[in-house]
This record gives sequence, C-alpha cells and structure tokens, in this order.
Amino acid sequence: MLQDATQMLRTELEYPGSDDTSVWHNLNLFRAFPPQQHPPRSSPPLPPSSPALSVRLDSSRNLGPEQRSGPRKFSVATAMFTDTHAPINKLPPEILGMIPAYQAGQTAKDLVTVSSVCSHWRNTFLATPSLWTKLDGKGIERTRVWLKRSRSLPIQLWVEGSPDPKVLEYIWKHPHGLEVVGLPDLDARNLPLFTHGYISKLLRPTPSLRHICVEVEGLIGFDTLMTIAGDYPSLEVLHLMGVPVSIKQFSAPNLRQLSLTGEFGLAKILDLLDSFPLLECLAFRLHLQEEAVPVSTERKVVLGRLSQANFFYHGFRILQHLSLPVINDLKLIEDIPVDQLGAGTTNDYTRFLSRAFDDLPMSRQINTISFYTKGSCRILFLSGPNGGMELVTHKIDNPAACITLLHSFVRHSFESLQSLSISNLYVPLSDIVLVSDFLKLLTGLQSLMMQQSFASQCLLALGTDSCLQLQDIEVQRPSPWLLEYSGLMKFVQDRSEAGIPIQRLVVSNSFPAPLDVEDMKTLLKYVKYVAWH
Amino acid sequence: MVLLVTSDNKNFVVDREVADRSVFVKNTLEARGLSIATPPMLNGGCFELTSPFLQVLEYCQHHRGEPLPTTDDANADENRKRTTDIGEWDRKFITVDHEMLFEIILAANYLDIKPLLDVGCKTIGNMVKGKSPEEVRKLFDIVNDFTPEEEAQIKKENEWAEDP
Repeated sequence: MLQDATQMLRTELEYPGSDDTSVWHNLNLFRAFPPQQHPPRSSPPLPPSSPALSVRLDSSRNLGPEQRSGPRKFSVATAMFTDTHAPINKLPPEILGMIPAYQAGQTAKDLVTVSSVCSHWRNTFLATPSLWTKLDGKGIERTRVWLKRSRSLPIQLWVEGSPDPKVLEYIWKHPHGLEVVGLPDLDARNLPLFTHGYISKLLRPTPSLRHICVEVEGLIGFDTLMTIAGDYPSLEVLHLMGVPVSIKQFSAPNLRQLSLTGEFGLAKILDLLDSFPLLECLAFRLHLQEEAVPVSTERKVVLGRLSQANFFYHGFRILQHLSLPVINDLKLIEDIPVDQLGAGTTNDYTRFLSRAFDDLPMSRQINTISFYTKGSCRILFLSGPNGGMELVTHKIDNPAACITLLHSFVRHSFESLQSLSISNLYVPLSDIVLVSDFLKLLTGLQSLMMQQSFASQCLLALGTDSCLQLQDIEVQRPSPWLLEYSGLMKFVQDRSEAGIPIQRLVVSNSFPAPLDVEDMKTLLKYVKYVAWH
Repeated sequence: MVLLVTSDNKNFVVDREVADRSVFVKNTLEARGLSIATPPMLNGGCFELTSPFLQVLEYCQHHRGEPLPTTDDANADENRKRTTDIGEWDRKFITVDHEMLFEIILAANYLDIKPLLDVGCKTIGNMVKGKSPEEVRKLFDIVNDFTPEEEAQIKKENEWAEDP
C-alpha cells in the first residue's frame, strides 16, 4: 500500500530531464523576491511530467559533483563565486539576499556592512535591488548609489527631520517612480520653499505611488495652497497634516487612510469621501467654507469600511451626512464658538452635543468616543478600548444635562458595554437616580469603577433586577459618610442573597473606614475578594 | 492524514492540518487531488531532508491551525520581515547550530512555509545586526576574498554610508 502510494507520488510529480536547470533557477529566483516584484502566482510551480525524478535523484547521490546533471548545474555555477567552506553560503543567493530585509531599524551602514563581508555576499546584495529602495534623504552620494542599485524599482523615501533640498531635487529628477513619500517632520519655517517646490513635484501622480505622508508641526499662513490633482491608482495612504491643500480632479480609488488639513466646502468634503469607498481611517482638521447652496440635509455618504475617524473642528456638521456602519473609534475635537451654544452654558453645550448624537447613525460596535473642546474649559471625554467606556467630566456644572447626554449615547451604542469607568461626575444625591437609570441600560455590564459622590446610593438604586452580569466593583474616593459604607455593604448583601453575588470589591482612597473587623468579616461572606485601602 | 515521503525514502504520516502549513504541500494536494506530496529537493542535487524535515514537522505541528500569512499583501510582507520579534517557542526551536539553522531555512523555503522562513531569516538578521564585517566573517566562518582594489572601494563606501 505504502509502496503504491510512493510510486503514485513519484509518477505524479516528475521533473523534466536534463534541461531542468532553468526550472530550478527560475523557481529559486521566483521565491527570492517579494511578491510585488514578480508576477503573482497562485502556488509554487509544479514541475511538468517527465521520467521519474526519484530514481534520477537517488542515483545522482552516488555521482561526483561534476557528474551530476540537472539541478547540480546551477549549484556548480553558483560555487564559482561562492566560498563553499562557509556553511551559510549553502543558502542560495535569493535567500541570502533577503536576510538584510529582516533587520529591524536597518541603517545604510548595516547594508554597507553586510555588503563588505565577502565577494559572494557583495555580489548577492548588490544584485538584490529591493534592498536599495529605501532612502532616508541624507547624503547626495549615498542617494545616488542607492538609486543606481535599486535599478528600476520604485523608491521609498522617508525623511526624518528637515530634508536636504539637493537630495529631493536629485530624487524627483530621477526617472524612478516613487512608492512612498514620507516627510513627517517638516520645519514650518521651510514650508514656503518646500510646499511650492520639491514636495509638489515629488507628489506628482504616478502609478506606483502608494503612501504619502507630509506633516508640519503647527499651522502657518499660506499665500498659495499646495495642489493635489490627478490619478493615483495605487495610493492607499494620503496624510497631509499642517499643509493646507487644494484638491482638484483627484482620483484614488484604493485610498484607505486619509488625513487632511485645509479649508473646504461641505459639499466638496462629501464628494471627496464619496469617491473613497475603501476608506478605513480618517482624520480631518478642516475649516468649512460657507457655500452659496447649502448641502441638503438628506444627503448621506456611506463609508462602509470606516472604523476610525478623528475630526478637529466641525466634526458634527460632517458626521450628520455620514453613515458609518462599522465605526468603532470616533474622536471629535471641537472648538465651537460660544454664539452657537446660546448662552454658552454647559447645559446648552451638552444639549447641543446630545442633539448632534441623536442624529448620528452610529454602530453598536462603537467602543470609543472622545470629544472635548479647547479653550472653553468644558471637556467631556468618553473612551473605551476593548469594549469598555471611560467617562470623565470636568467642570460640568449641570449633572442633569450630562446625564441627558449619556442617555443619548446609550440609545446608540452601549447595550453590550462590559466595563465602565466614571470619574469626576459630581451628582447631588437628589439626582443620583439619573446615574442609576443610565447604568440600568447597560445590561451586559460586568465591571464598574466609580469615582464620584454617593456611589453606594447609585448602586443601591440598581436593585437586584438590573446589571445582572455585574461582578467587579471599584469605588474610589467615596463620600466620607457612614451612609456610603453601609450602602455598599447592603448592596453586596442584597446581590449575594439574590444569587448574583459581587465577586470583587475594591474601595480605595477612602477616608478612615468606619469598619471594624466584624464588618469586614461580614463583607467577606458576600464578596470573594475585598480590598479596602 | 497525509503521507509525506522525503527524497531518501523516509515516510512521515501527519495530519492534513499539519501538512497544510506548507503552502507547497497544500497546493500540491489541492491541485492534484493527492494524498502525498513531493520529495523535497534544492539546487545541488538531492537534498537530505530527514533531519531538518523532522524539525520542520515539529514546527508545523506546534503552529497547526494558525492563520497563514497572505501572499498578496506587500505591506504586510514588509512589516512581517521588519519586526525582530520571535516568539518564545520559536526562539527555542530555532536555537540550533548554524548548519541546522541553514538546513531549516532551505527546507522552509522549498516547502513554502513563510513563517518558518521568517523565523530563520530573522535569526540570521539579528545575528548579523551591529557586527562589523570581520565579526560577521568570524561568526559564519567566511573567508575575506576581496582584492585590494575592492577593499579600497568598500572603504570608500563606508565613508559615505555614514553621511549625516
């Protein structure tokens, strides 16, 4: 049976006769380079049928090196320039040539070092163009040599700090296509030179351009905007922050990440977004121009893949026209003028936000929402990696308005929330029911951290018929009243007797606890783990 | 179960899930409807795979069921190479003498087991990183066969490689 199977294998997978050197040569070369540099393949090439390989192979093992045919020819050819005494040089050039690509944080010196070991290594690395495609924009001589060695492969330019204009000029004059243009750390003082000169030329549309990142620290005034126009069929990342741009007849159907600074009309923004169906990540730092014809409130743009969005300014106005079915990380950084908030009170502000969120078609998968204002001292922040949520309020002087806002969130997103952290939510005892009503909506809640007054009263208001999954409670800085401690004890006791016990209770930063040893023993009857400090 | 036969007629019977860690074996089985894969071979004639093949099977067994890297994402391919992280188990697995390390890399390349090829190449990359050419030669027992003219050229290169 086994022999039959073996024979079937040998018959099925035969190799060509004496001319298979090229097959192996091609196979090895094929595997040597990253996929993007070779035609795509569906699977490793299978040798075509011919007389049985295994017989020939087995017999070849008894022959001297010079007598072996087929694959041996390639090996002999290789040996002519290989130090065969070194075991590492048993690796074929196509594998050896990949080794530097595996060095994290590889520098130009690393490449020169490995190319200086022996003639075999040197020939191998100099014949591997993909190793020489990454330019750091430093040193005109090095740039010249790298471009020469990269042959016709597209270049990846990533310059930390201010680039050397001569190097940039050399690169854009070079006939190579660019695959990556990264200038993430430009000095704003040099912007007029770069914006209207080399950068614009580097960003010319080419079929190979995949990633653009230009970032300037701090905004400065511009007489002329940098224009982005044309077809970018391969572009996946367009990150232009701190560089106001004008976008005209721009096409990038494969764009996945977009970060933009500038001044646009709302209609233009929506048109742009509508043309990026694959968009996954978005960051806007925009000022919206007033338009003669306002955008219809009915207009919606569906971004079916967008999972992360950051808006600096005007986020709410744009969001009201977006449908984001898979969004899970949304940050809104607003600086809303006081006149848009009526009297400018916190109450008005939170109502404004609440209304805005009521209109948002958001996903239940959302796990992070952050928004805050700069300069107005009113900050509301919600975030929550891993399905949790953290709520921190600062200088919110109207808790009822804050709770109203919470309710507007809950209606949208948080039925499956598992953990919640509430800090600095100062709610008077008379309004504590607002917080507990909010908690009751979180039916999947398992872990709760509260840093607020009357935490225990809020928990007691939950009763034993809501938040049934709740197991883990932490109370920080509880109110220094007996009511707080007795309330906590009653809550855990009620839960335990109802068959939904709290597993872990932590009370931290408390004033000296009015609990004696007997109280602690009682607590431990109802809670597996108690920490009180 | 799949029967794998090496070039020196050693037979290995493994779960299909283990065999499928090799894209080459997987594609062969799928393309030909076979239950058997091929005797591995590389340039230089017959490739004695028995010893590294055992190691390769151990690797495949440990990583069975894990998702295979996609072959059509150049960025992911690049990122995968650039991270020096090697898992604890993989690090212990690949802590072998140089000869065996190279054999494992050859086998991983032939059998198209990218994660194993990555581990092997990263290991060599980490060994080389930060070393001078002389230290690399000593590490891998390589003879410096440059002519004086080539040495001079290389020395010149080393100067501009350190440009600010």
